[in-house]
Amino acid sequence: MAGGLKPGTLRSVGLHLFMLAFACLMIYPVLWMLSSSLKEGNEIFVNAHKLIPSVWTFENYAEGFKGYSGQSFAVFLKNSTIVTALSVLGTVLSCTVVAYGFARIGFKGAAFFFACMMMTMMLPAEVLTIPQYIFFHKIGWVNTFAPLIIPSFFGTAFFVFLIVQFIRGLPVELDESARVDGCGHGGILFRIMLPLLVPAIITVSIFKFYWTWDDFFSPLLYLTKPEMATVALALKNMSDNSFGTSWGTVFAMSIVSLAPVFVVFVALQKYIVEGISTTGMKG
Amino acid sequence: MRKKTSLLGSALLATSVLISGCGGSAGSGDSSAAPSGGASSSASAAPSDPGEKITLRLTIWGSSPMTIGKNDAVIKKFEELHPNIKIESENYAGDVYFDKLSVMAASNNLPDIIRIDYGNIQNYASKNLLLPLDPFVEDKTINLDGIDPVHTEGGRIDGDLYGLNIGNNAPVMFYNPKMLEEAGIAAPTPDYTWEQYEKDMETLQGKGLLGDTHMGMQVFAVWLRQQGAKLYGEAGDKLGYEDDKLFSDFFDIQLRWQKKGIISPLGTELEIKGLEDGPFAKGQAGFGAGLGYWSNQADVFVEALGGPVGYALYPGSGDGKGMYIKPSFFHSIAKNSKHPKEAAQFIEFYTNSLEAGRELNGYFGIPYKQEVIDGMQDILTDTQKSIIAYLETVRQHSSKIDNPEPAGHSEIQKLFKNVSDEIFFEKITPADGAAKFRELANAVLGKPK
Amino acid sequence: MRKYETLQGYLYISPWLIGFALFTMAPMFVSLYLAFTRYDILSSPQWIGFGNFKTMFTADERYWSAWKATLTFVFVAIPLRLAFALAVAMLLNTKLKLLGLFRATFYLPTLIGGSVAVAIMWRQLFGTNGALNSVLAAMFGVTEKVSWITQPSTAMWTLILLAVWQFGSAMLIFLAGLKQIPASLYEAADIDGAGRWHKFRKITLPLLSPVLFFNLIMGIINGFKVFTEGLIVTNGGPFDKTLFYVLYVYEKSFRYYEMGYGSAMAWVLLLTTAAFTLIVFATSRSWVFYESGRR
Repeated sequence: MAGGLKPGTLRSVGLHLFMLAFACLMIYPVLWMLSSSLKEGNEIFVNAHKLIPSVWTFENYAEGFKGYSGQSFAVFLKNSTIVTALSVLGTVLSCTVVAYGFARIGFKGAAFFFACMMMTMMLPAEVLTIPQYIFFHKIGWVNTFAPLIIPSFFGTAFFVFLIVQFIRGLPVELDESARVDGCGHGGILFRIMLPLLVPAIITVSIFKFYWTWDDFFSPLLYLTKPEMATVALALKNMSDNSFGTSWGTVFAMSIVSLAPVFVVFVALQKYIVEGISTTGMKG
Repeated sequence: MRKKTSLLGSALLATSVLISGCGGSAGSGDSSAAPSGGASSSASAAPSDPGEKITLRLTIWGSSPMTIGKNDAVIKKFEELHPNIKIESENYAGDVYFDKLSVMAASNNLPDIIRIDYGNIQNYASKNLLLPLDPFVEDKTINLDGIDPVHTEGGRIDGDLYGLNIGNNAPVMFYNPKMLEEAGIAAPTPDYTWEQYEKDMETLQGKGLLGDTHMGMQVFAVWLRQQGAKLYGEAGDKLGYEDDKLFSDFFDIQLRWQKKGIISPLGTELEIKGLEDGPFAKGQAGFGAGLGYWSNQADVFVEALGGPVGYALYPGSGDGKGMYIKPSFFHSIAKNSKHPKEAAQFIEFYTNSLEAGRELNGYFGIPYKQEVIDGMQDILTDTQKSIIAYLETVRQHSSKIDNPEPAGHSEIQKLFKNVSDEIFFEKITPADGAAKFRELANAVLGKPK
Repeated sequence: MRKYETLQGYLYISPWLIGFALFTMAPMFVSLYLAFTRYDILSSPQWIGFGNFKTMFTADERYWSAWKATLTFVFVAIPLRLAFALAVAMLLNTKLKLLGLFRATFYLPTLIGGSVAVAIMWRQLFGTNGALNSVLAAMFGVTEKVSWITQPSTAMWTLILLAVWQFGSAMLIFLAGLKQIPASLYEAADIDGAGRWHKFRKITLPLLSPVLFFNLIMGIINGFKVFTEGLIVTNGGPFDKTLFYVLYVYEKSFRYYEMGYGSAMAWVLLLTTAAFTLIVFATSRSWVFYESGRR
């Protein structure tokens, strides 16, 4: 049993209780948001400390689903799904391949380009927005999903670095025995390593999923038509303060936005856990 | 190898993009103002023939369903009258609206019709991004006959008219009529003094309520006007008041109120996240002046308080020097618009037509064309009528609005807030704060444009 | 053979290389250029040489507030968050009941991200009328209601807490790393009679070190870039106590139309982050252990 926890019912019960309490603490803010979404208008702020609404209402959800500009919220959900799913696909494909290149192939200039890649993460995105926008505008990608999706197919420093670290955790003997069997780099990556990298890839997918799902800044920059808006952008617009905000609706749709991400996480997380361990290998 | 050429290529791309993409002067003839591919193709700005379909882009801020709904309703009416024109409206949240507009300006992609406020029109006009509207006023596409210039002069910068005012607002001190009545306080009249204001807040405190909040820069600007000064100098390159006592007095009285506990604690105020969230909106304070509300926000408070609100001039406005009527916002035309005449037609319709007026019902500001106001009498709500009455009171007790804020205004607002908070947290004295603000503000304002 | 390896290497990293050339490199060069200009976005940039840097280092008080806020955050929030992430990951790596549920619960905060809703929620906990004050009143009889998120001395701590609360992503990465450690190692250690602390030091930490290294580096890089929390919860206040560096960059670039200055600031940040990262990389030789034995 990994982690080395000694059996013992008292300790186990104690641990479970502690975890339960801790979990409640962690989740309180979310519960608060859920509860507010079920409250009527001004009760949200006036009765903020009460977790149970005095009057339960689903009105906020109904109102929220109407969306705006004649687009129901379902449209935003659809758009987010398209953008996010494709982005995750692109990320996983490109980052795995690139990471293998950096981690396992000793080629001239690898260190230099790795450093370049790391550097790209250190510059705040804000100062790149104008030049990038101008570029995308020149090639006609503004007003489309292209700037949101296509760059994912070209690798992201964060995920490449992550997978590189995971690959480095795998023993070289794996590569060597594969080579003995006649595999080139392609074979090593796709036949031997890929199954072992499942936890890493799942992790990357989860991250990319909710980063893209929650990102409102890129959609803000590159999308103009309401019918193309994503959930994150819609939420940003709906909580805009210029003329007064309906917070109940905002919270309701925040919960709705949270649901798919949470579901994806719950569905995928066990693959991280059940990632094939390297038991049996020399180590 | 490949990387060398891509490096060079990208550098070239970047430079060419930068050179042609920035700057708003006469377009490099690139991407259209109608990216949706609406069939307009005429490159000249000559009036297009009525059979040809034209698409215009419009940007607005504010994304509540009501804002968009009302805006769309006006567009629909306009399109019915002009079947060859289609308007595509893009809406963005208020706090990122100008981020988006900046990016569009940088890539020469501004919309035909730009909604822009008093605080920003100067900046955009001076950078040559807007089209002067005077030709359209002359040929009556925009018909300003019979309209008091005071309503439209706000959009005139250096002699040219750059935007058409959609409607008027004024700063307002809301009050809670029921609360005041129960506390035995008389409703404020135009002669309301600062001393009386303080007394009334104390009365409210006696009843376990709050008077108001601390006062922000908007009130400070009026305070300066009341004492014959201004916030910004004529040329916008330094502060408009010489005597730092004007600043420290403003804060001295608030510190006094703070000590007495008749205004809300600063901590609570800093937590406020929206209009419906302040002490006045939540029914905890009798007055709502400090946070700088505008007359067209009345609906929010009527809804929050569940009843009518009272409208009053800021204290100390009796001699009419302090208060002013402000254009709610303007519609401007981008310099590079391919269809300025049609854009002008839309702008005129939005502001001066009865159909538009009836759709909007004063949501953005009160119309100023008499025919429109007359034609709306039957649909005006009580709140609208109160606002109109209030604006009339303001008109009788006001003076000309200050010049549009200079380019550094945003930063100065932040500096003011910072110094203000420091004073209220008692980290520095009002006198020191005055000097500090002057130094910081002049540094910003003195920068070359 | 070497040449073939090199070619293969470039082939594998070509997606990133192309993307870098197309989408990132040019903008990065442009922003470097802009750092030496005065650029108000609405008109063409004007070259001013080192002017921005001079102003930054000698004439801008707010600049140093920004550094103070950011460095405080990096040196406090990041280690705390990593510690929590590791501790909870290890706890979750055991035979707890409802493991999946716990994992999801701890990860939930991260999913909320930087929405405005988070800001409101946080205020409901740490604001004047928030839950913390209610609890303090109920359990300890404390009557004074402090606004934790707006008081100068505590505002930063609420933001640090917000960052630590969102330890889920680091935790997940640690979990994945823990899962890669063969159970056989622990079993062998048990047979040898090793204690819990010993197992942690000799097995867990070394084998987890690549992942720990990753989390540390990413923590530092992202810590320096902290932005959203500062914007939506405290808006940099009160009086710049929580004015994170990138928040200041954003203000200067977009709100005050000084993108040249903002770009200059961004590049100083990049160099600083790179320096810190290099230090960690340099020390990594001594404490990061790779199964593959390399670098």
